[in-house]
Amino acid sequence: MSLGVAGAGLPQIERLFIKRVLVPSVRILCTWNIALFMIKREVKIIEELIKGFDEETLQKRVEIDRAFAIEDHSRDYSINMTLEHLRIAGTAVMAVIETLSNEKEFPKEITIEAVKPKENGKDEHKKFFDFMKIYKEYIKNHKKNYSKMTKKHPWFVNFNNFDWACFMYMHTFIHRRQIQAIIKELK
Amino acid sequence: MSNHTGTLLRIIGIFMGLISFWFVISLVFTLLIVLTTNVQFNITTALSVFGILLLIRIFYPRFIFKD
Repeated sequence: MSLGVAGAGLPQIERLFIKRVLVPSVRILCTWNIALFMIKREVKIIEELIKGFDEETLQKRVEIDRAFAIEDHSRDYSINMTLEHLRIAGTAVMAVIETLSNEKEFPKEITIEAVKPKENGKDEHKKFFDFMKIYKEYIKNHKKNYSKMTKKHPWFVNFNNFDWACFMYMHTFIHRRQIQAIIKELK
Repeated sequence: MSNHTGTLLRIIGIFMGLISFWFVISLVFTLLIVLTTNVQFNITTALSVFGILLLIRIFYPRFIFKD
């Protein structure tokens, strides 16, 4: 039921809007602590959204309409697949933040295909919340410097460690909206 | 309302919230200026301080349009 090629990207206008409007605006208005506060809020919202769903429903794949900043390939996910993607991407982002914070080059190339969900496992929601606890603690204790070293996001621009922390929030927000669209289709 | 439009409206809402947050921060700076100098408090002064704060944020800690 796949709707497109993994890593095909976003419509040009959406990509440009994010690259030229959202990224600069986030850079002006966000700080490390704001990004942490906002991501904590997103995790709470996700917790509330999926409360009460059984494991089978969490693994059920449904097709949703086009959602903002979600590429077509990802429009037929289950809730657990979305959470798996958030965990895989989040783990990578945390490694990138750590490397850039030490002013070191992140050697691996970041690809969209590499952060796609692979298992749709039944306990993925638990793994996601466990990961987010680690991430929140990591950012809370981070020295909150602004690295000169950057790593390019495959769709946008070169991000430093702070940009990646803000991206982590925006990314979670976008996929929380995807979860809401999936829940709407499930009902 | 579609999920797509809803997300865009929420993004606008988030940014409005963040702008308000920075405006409140600039109001604190304005009050400090008013209390420590002879400058009169008015909306122009508050907006000027807000503008300067945003200008600083554009260039520091990193130029926002840097690729």
